[in-house]
Amino acid sequence: MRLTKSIGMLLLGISMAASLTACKSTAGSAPGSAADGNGAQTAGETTAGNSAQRSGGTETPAAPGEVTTIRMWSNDQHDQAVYDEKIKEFNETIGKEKGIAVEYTVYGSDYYTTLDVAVTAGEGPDIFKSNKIGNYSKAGYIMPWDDVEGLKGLVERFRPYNAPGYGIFGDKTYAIPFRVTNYGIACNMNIFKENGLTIPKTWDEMREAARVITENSGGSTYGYALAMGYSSYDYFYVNLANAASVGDEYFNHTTGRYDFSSLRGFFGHLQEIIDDGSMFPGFETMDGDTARAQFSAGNIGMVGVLSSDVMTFKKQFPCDFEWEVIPYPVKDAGNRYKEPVGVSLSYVINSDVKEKGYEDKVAEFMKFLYSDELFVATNEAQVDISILGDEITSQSTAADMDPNWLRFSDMDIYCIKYPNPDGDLSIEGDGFHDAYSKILTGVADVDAALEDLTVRYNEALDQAISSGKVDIKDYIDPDLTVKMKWVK
Amino acid sequence: MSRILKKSNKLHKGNKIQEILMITPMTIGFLMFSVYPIIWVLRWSFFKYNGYSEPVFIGLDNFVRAFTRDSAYWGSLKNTFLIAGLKMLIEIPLSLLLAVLLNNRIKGSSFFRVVFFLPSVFSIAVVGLIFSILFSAYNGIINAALRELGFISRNISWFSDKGHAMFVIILVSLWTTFGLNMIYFLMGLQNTSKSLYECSSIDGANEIQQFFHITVPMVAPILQLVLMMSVLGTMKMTDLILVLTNGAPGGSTEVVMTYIFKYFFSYGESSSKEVQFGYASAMAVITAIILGIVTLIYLKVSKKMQSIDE
Repeated sequence: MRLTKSIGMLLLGISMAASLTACKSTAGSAPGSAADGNGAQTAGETTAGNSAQRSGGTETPAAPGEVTTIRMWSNDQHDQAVYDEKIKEFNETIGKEKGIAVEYTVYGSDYYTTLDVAVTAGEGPDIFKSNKIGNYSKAGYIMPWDDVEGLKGLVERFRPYNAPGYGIFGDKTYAIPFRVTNYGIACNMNIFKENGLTIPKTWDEMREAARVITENSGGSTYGYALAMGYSSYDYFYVNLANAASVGDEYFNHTTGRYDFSSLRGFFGHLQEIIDDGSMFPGFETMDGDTARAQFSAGNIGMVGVLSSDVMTFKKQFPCDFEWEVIPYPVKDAGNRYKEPVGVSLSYVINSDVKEKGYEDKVAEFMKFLYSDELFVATNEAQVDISILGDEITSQSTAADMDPNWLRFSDMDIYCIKYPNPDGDLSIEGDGFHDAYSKILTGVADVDAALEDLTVRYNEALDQAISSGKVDIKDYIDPDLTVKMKWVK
Repeated sequence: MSRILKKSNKLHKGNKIQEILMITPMTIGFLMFSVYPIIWVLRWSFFKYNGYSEPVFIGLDNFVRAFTRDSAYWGSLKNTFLIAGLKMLIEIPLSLLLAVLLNNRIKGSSFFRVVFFLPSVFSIAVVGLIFSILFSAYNGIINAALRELGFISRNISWFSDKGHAMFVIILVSLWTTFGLNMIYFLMGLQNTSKSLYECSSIDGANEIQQFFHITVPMVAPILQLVLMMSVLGTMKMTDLILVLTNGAPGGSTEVVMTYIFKYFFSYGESSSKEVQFGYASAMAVITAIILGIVTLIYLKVSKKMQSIDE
């Protein structure tokens, strides 16, 4: 009995010791394991860049002959193939010559959560795409570019496209916008021809086209699909689309105040399509991919699309019919404005880079990342539209460019305007995304909901101004009228 | 005598060490994965914190906000109780009825036991996805069947209004859990002595009388457990709502757990729900207290169910 107990205790002790050892080794290897997963830190441990990271920033810059590993993260899956190839080229040419090895990791839908955890834990990559540039700059996680000699040229070149709220925070440049996501309405030209329709230019024409398509099909095809399950539908297919009719967004960049009442007409236009029964059934929960799939299957006459959809309709949901992208129709064709464009989120540089003393190497790579060579490559692959517009498209020599890509790339119909101060406001209750959803599903009255949004957003703006979070001058654009003027 | 006492003490000491060693891993796990998160949530409920900026202590403001300025939170709580109540009204009688039917050794009862239980083992995310396809407004099978049978002339958009969407949520939720509850009832029924039924038959009781006067009282303790698990399980419903409606239309099918979840994780990259750990923690604390109160009241009210058995 005693022997059994002793053996039992011994075995228990061994198993506990083993599990504790396992725990210890797991805990110890956790960061390394995560890095192994993306293949970054393991390689970096032998290099100056990452060995510097381990020594807590007290090291000296990389000695000649050593290779500094620069880790770059993003969630851009659509252009990953082009970036992988160009970064490989960089590593084998400029990188090899200057002692730089770039490790590029692309994450999926959990990117921003992963990034927040990594950055706040001091494990963030050297360069990363960020959706919280203002917050990260205030917290000191990212460094300004203005003081780095090698980045000054880039800051100057992209200054006309930058603005407070995009990459400038507190008079310092933390990022530069480099590409745009353009949008429009894709029309199934087969359906339009079958129904004797021409491309709509006004809201009324769009409503009529949607009605005719739906009625003539006997319920198999619907005129328009507003995919409300797509998280940015409110931005691209409501806010920006409406701006082409009224000349600005819900934030007025001339008065510096919120005014959601400018959307009243647009919601009326959408409601008419819904009431006609021309809106695709189930649009309330339909996500972007479902809308694209149904369009590709020929079940939708018109659908909202982004510039990235040119390749989507070639590879993911191939269309065996002719389709054409058009600017979102406006209320009055004789009084239209340009469409404000969605500036894509930019790359930022981890402040650890400066502390560890290899910002010159990072700057070298950033010059490549923002080079005409890379912009032309992504344009020719029809995956990205550079913010530089014609400057890049004019250099493209590819012969077989999709006509819809060329239409999307025509920056003359788009306007790069100032951002809105939304990100600095603390809004309690429904934001505009939820409020729009309630309006479009009949849960809320349109006038009351828009009035409520205007009041609450202005109150939050006043609070942000009084607390010093927002300098309203940063959001007043004196050139807005000129920028938004339709010139076609 | 003293030698025996000494030996007994030594044995007792040995047992104690063994007990401590055995309980230690579980205690560490409990402290790490239950106690620490609770303390974490309690702590952050007094802060304004988004995960990366400097946390700001704001006292009880998060709680004041939930109680006075956030009607959507209470709306989501109301939806949760509505779903739990309606589901329970259908689920419990249905599970009990099926258990009684399957307890009578009719032909094919084993097959039906498996069939009814099977939905309980499926992933909720997969179930949600399948049902969202079945109930699709454009080419869903349900609409097609209803049209074919002549019940509707135009497709129903199941997720475009609260009534239809709630109906689908309750139906799917019911489908995933009734089988498990049926198994619990079945276990209770199998432990019920057959002699009670035989005696009552001799006394002239019919099957309905037997059901209400023997079956129901005998499974009362299980009924108490099943009811509590059903209500608490529904109150904590998250994944099904996220997959099926994600709160649509316009947040009208939001339940309390998805509402809190979205403040914790900014699900769906909705521009209006930025991560607010502090406020989400405060709502989690309030919800936990409400669930605790509901459970206590229920246990008190349902105490009689235990005594029937006794």
